[in-house]
Parts: sequence; structure tokens; C-alpha cells
Amino acid sequence: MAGAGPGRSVDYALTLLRRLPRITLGNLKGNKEQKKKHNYSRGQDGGSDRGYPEQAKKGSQPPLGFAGGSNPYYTRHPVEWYYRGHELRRQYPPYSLFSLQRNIDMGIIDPAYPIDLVQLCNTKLYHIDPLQRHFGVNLTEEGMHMFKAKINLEVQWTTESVIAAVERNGGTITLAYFDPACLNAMHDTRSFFARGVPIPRRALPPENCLELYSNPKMRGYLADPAAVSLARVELAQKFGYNLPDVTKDPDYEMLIKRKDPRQCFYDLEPGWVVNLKDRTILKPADEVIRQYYRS
Amino acid sequence: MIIRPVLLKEPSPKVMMHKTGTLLRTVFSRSWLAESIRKPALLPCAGTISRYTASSSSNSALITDRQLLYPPKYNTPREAWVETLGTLEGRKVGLIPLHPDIFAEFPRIDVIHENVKWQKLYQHVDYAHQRTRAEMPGGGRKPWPQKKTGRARHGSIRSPLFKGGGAAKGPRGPKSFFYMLDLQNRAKGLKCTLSAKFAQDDLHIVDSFESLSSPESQFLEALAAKRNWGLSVLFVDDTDFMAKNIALACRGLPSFTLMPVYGLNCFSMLKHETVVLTTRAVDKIEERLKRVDNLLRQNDPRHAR
Amino acid sequence: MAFAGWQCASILARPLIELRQPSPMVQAVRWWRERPVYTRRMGFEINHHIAGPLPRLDAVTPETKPIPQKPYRPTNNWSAKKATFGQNDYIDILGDGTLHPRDMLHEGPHWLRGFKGNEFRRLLRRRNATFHYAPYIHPTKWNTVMKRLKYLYEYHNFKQNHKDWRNME
Repeated sequence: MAGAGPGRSVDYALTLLRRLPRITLGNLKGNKEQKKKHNYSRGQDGGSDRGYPEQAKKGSQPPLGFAGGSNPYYTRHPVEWYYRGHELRRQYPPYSLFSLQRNIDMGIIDPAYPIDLVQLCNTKLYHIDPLQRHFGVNLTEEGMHMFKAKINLEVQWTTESVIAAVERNGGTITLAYFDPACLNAMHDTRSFFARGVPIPRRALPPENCLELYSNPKMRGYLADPAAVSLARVELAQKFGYNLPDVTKDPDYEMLIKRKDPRQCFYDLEPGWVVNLKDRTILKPADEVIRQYYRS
Repeated sequence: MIIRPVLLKEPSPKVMMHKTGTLLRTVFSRSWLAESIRKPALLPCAGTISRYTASSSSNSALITDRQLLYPPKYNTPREAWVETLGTLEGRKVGLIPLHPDIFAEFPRIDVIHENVKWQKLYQHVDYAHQRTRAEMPGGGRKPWPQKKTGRARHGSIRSPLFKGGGAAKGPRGPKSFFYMLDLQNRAKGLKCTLSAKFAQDDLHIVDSFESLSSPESQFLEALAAKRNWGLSVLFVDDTDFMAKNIALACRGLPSFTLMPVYGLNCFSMLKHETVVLTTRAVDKIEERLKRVDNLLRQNDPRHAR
Repeated sequence: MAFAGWQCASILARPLIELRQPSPMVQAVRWWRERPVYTRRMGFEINHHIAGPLPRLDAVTPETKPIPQKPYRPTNNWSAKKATFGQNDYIDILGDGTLHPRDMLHEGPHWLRGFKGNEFRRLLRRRNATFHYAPYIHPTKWNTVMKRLKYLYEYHNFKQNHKDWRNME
């Protein structure tokens, strides 16, 4: 409506308003016509029928899904065992390398700091819902061919090709597990801090994925760092690129930053209470509690 | 306040930059506009504040250097005088630009109507409730035998056919009419209402409510009468802790309402004849409404700037 | 025996006339079939003053009794509630974004705050929200709700044709 250029309708309309009575609650009128009730035509111009099948207005209708007496379709196959337990399985909503590169280029994500699930959720362009059994970010291969950023990345699920794409540019990538209590804190940090509860202590992964997160080939956070370095070299040889030396990198400090297995947020320990309003952090004083959070 | 539109004799650099020459031509080519230029045009006035301020008394530097957050790329900003509440007549203490996306939005009456309708309806609860035949007392026994009495056959004295019987299709219980208009629609409603108020000279900007010199209701009433503000005025400030004088003055006047920016809404703006904003309130409103614009633009790549 | 010709009229064609009081001496009509319909409660009597402006009388007589009416109380359109109606409806836009108008609803029962639905849905919500205290503090009302739910379930699922389900209530 508000067009630019000569003869703008906005200015004409506003100038017109100056000559018209004041707009008040009694002057308003809507645009959409109200839904008209269908009045059945009677008399001379009436049609031959009511406009709907008379059967439809009978007192009792068969229920939805009724199949004339035989076993209805929706009860024939009540359960299909192949998806048993689907509601309990972990889900990792995908996030592509393409999106990541795009957001870095647009300035939404800053590559000068480590990128983890918290950073991605803070962009408000990626969402996870722990209540829907989302356990983190699944970094996909799309955009692998044009990925150029050098970043310290922490994800929950990925493939070898993606790891290669990230490491080829001199970055680092880690696979880390977060339990649902931590994910609740991480996916919406603002509302978590507003609750005023201590930062939770991260739990270890369950049995069926403990092996994955201890695997140096997948850069698991529980793996031996020496084995991880070796795996980096092996991957470079496999894919055929020159692995840049991280130790000689000016951003070495940033690239090497890792979270403790009990830590959710960088630079914040479990057990601390963050008060955003007063801009303070409260730390537990009791020794037993501190021991618990540090164990 | 009546300002003569500054014509081509004294074009300001700001005006030239935004092609207002063509705008002038368009506006004044229409004869019915040209014949009576009693009401000022919506053109940005040239920087001629010295012409309009009263004899400068001691205090205050003039407010002339307000910068627009998110300056508009394709539209011309509007300008508004800034007044004081010190004396009955007041004087102008500044000229500030107003964002055209908020104060010169196309006045969509139907959008305003939708917003007002939503405001009236979304909190409404209808408590009307009529009992059905099952809920009425008694009515379990057949009143008289089926046959031979000569009367119509009935099963219960509380059927809808009976006087004192239950309602067949009556209103049932507390019923709510809650619904939410989408964010875009509500933001647009606010912008259209502000634009309509500004266009019809019912929007005034004041430096601060602290400039009100007396806590008497009569003073404020006389002030509004002197300035032709009307019978009802909505005062809007940035915070919800209002200055003492204005709070006391408005307490005695039921049709003069004080409101913080977060309480602003289409219904109140239309119910009150004039709306008086402070400069801080204008800043806050612009910032919040532009934030919504940017949010929506971010999610919809078609509107990316 | 022949009837009295075509003077026999149906009851609808009976003459509508006022009669003298019947007495044993006088026969009102000759034939039973021609008996008239008695006019009862016909017309109306004007009980109020219709001639010109109302008289300014000192005393109120039975003829000039005023019609009983409630005393007129003008609505105060600038009461605190009415003057600030609609305030905070845009708080999610103009505030800091943490509050939403849905969070500030006060009217109505708590199970209907921010909810709109047909009667079946409302009662289901009421049941789910109050089952842990309602059967004990007002058992008759609870019983009514359960009976109604049962009726509505059967109505919606086995009786009502939901082809136009969008226009349900």
C-alpha cells in the first residue's frame, strides 16, 4: 500500500483523513462480509432439492470410519510392531553445513567463539524441543562442497564427511551428549536463567550411545584426545586433503576449548545460579554440594 | 497548530533528497486541496524553528537532533512539534522526525476494526446457561398414561415442549470467545491507529510529563481546553512511574488517562479524543514496532532488505 | 327432517354480534347452528394518558398512576475500568516480550482461560481440569457434567454428520 515514488496513495489517503470526521470507535467498519446463512429457497423460485442429501440430516448417522458393518480400516491394523518404541527413540533435528555457512556469512553466528547447541538455538533460526525427544543437532552434509569457515563446533550427531569438511578448513568438531535436563536449559537459555535454578550437572550418555561418544573416529567428547589427533590425520589421508596444523593457528586457544563432561555451558560450572536481572552469579557455598557438582 | 506549508521558495536539503518536489506537485494539484490550505500538509517543514518558537525563555536547548532508529530507505520521515505542559498555552521546544512506517502508515480502517473487535472479544466470556431436560428437577415419571386420556402423549414434564421444561438448544455454560490475531495484524493495527491520529491532528508530542507545573486537575483541564485537545486525553509515557503532578491531576479527571507504552492499544487511542506522547514514549514505540517488522522480515525472505 | 336450507352456516361463518342478555322469555336465535360466537375480551382499554403532554399534577390518582419503571442510571463511560479498557492487549509487542495477553486473562473459569471450543470440548477440558476435587465438593454438578459428556460423545460420534466439521458450533 505504501508505495514509493510520485503520487503515493498513502499521502493522499492521509490528507483525505484530515478533512474527514475523527476516527472513533463508532466509525469503524470491517471489510470481510459476514458468512451468510444459507436460506433455502422456497416458493416459486425454489429448487428441486434442499441443497444437501436428505440422508445426511437423518437423526443417526454412522460413526466416522464406519465401513458398512465389516471391520473398519482403522481397527484392522491397530498396531504395527515395526515401529515399537518409536516414541522413546532419540531424535536429532537436522542442520546443514550450508545453513551454518550462510549464517556465519550473514553475521548471525560469530566464528570467533566456539559454536555449540546453545549458539544455534540463540539464533532463533534453529529450534529443538526436548519434550519431543530431541537430543541435539544433527549436522548434515548438504553444503559440504562449499564450506569454508574455520570454527570450533560441538554437535550431537554427524557423519565422517562432515567432520572432514570442517577439519579441512582448520576447524575442530566434537560430538557431545546432553541429557534432557541440560537440553531444557540449553535450548532456551533466557527462560532457563529466569527460573533461577542451578545449572544442571550433565549426565553420561546411555549405554546404547556410550560407544559412539567414546569413539575417536567420530570425535566423541569422551574419547582419548591423543586418539582423536590420530583420527584427524587418518581422515585427512582418507579424504585426501592437507590437515592444517591447529597448534600453529592464531585461534588455537579458541579451537582447543572443550567442555568438561559435566558442563553444559562454556565458562559456567554446574551448580551455579545465573541472575540476569542483577547481573550476578551465585555459587554454592556448602562443601557437600560443591563436591557433588564437581564430581 | 496551524503551520503554513513551506513551498518551493525555501526547500530544505532533507526535502530535496527525498523527491518531495514531486510530492508537492501531486498534493497541490488537486483543486479542492489547493483552495483551502487551512490545514497544514504533511510535508516535512523546513528547518525554520526559529520562526515558530515563542520568545525563548531561559531553559532548555531545543530538541532538534533526534535520530531515527532504522532510518527509512524509501519513505520520507514526518515531523512533529514538541510542546511543553508548563503553561496553559505552552510553547514549542523542538521538532522531531517520526518514522513514516509507523506514523504515516496507510490508514486501513478495516485493520483497525479487526483489532478493536479482537480487543473486545478475546477476553469475553458468556455465562449464559440453560438447563436441559436432564438437568431440570423432576421429570422422571410419565405424567399421564399413553392412551385413553384424550391428551397428547408425553414422557416427562420437563421436555422442551412443556412450560417450565428444559431448553432443547439453549446456551450451554460459560463459553469463551478467545482467539489471537496474528502479530503482523496487531502491529499494523497500532501503526494505522497512530497514523490516523497523527493525520487528524489528534496526536501531540510533549517533552516530558514532569514539565506540568501544577498538580491541580483544573489546570490540566484548562490546558486541554486551551489547546483544543478535546474532552478526553490519553497520556502515554515510557515508564509506569509517572510524575507526581500529572498523576494527581489525572486522578481528578476521569476522562484523562495515564498509560505506559506497554499499555498502548487501538481501543484506548480511539476512545480518547487526543493522544499525548512524550518523546521517550515515541522512541520506545518506534523501537518496539520496528523490532516486530524486522522479526517478520527475518522469517520471510521475501521481505528481506 | 330437512335442515333449514342453506342458512346453516359453519362455525366460521357465524355472525359476530353482541346480544342482549339471554333470559327465559327471549330466544336469542332460532336455530342452534346459527348461534353466534360470543365476543370475549375484545378490544382494549387505554389505561395511560394519550392526550397531549403529561399533566403536571400534584397528586397521583389511580388514573394518573405512573408506569412502574426502574430509575434511570446513566452509564459512566469513564469509570476506571472503561477508561482503561484494552490496556496491555499489545504487551507482547510493546512490552519486553516476556508477557503475552494470554497470560493476563482473568475472566471465566480457569479451564477456559485462553481456550475456545464447542460444548463437548469445553466439558472435556473441565473434566480434566477438575476431576481431582469436583466429584467431592459438588457431586451433583459433576454427575451432570458426566451425563452431558456421555450424551455429547454419542451425539457427535454416532448421530451428527460431521461433513461440515469446520462449522461445528
